[in-house]
Amino acid sequence: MAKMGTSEGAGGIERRAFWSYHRDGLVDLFAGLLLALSALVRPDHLWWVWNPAGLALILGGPLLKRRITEPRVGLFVPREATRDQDALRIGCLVPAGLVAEVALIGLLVSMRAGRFPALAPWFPLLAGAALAAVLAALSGLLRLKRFLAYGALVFAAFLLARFTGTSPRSWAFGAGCAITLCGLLLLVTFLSRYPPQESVNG
Amino acid sequence: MAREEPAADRGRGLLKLDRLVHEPARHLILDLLEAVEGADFVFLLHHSGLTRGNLSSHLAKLEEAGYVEVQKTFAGKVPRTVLRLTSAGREALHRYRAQMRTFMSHRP
Repeated sequence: MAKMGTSEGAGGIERRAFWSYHRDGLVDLFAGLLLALSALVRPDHLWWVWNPAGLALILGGPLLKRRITEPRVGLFVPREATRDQDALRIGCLVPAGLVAEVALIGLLVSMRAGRFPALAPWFPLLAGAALAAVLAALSGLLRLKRFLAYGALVFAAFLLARFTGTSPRSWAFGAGCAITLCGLLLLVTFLSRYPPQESVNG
Repeated sequence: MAREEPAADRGRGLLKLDRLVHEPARHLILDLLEAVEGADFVFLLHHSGLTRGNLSSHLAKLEEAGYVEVQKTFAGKVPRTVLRLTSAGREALHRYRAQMRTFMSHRP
């Protein structure tokens, strides 16, 4: 007879808890808007968009969750093992992300100065792959499979730009708008389906 | 060769089940709390599907039995109540599952 409860059942409940907590579409909205905004800005000015956006997410994200999400689906504290795993992932991903950001921007500036001419046609694909990797990492961290789909969408957008010879920024802007729209739909559905609940003890 | 427990003894084992855990709503609450380190009332309300009154009533019984503890904290200036499964609650849940496994393993 299969084991009752234990880690498999608990793991399933925890996954559902994460999924429910991010059903509000707030992260989707943020990711979509950031991508769309990045497409409008000159590539060597992206530093001034991404880093403040990161700060805004760290400072504003929990506040938005407390105001919008938690009164509707509640708050949970993940198990210690999950928190340790997430801390390790964040500890690896954030430095890797910063290094990739610096490397890409550095590469772009170098190419504009006439260096690495063979890489120039492939740079948009590199950028697209990097963005897709960020979204895939978010998918793992938040336990949201839809971010894998967003990553595939972004990479496909840059791929289409490369092989149609059109501007990758237009495609990126389109992908950003599509993700933003998904986030908006999720948020509207979430707000209408889950009214705020009052906690018994405050 | 081990002697199999008589059917009558296995049946009587059912009478020793912890009725606090056996009640489906309370079992569900304990299951939810086992999967996380802590959760608030709204989380349990959302994931259990119980009514507010029902959930409050069951939580009170579980707290009285020492299976669930209530921690009141603050997130900034906002008061926050977090419910956690105690070690006694965890043991009671595991004991219940073991008893049910034993009983069900002899059923077709």
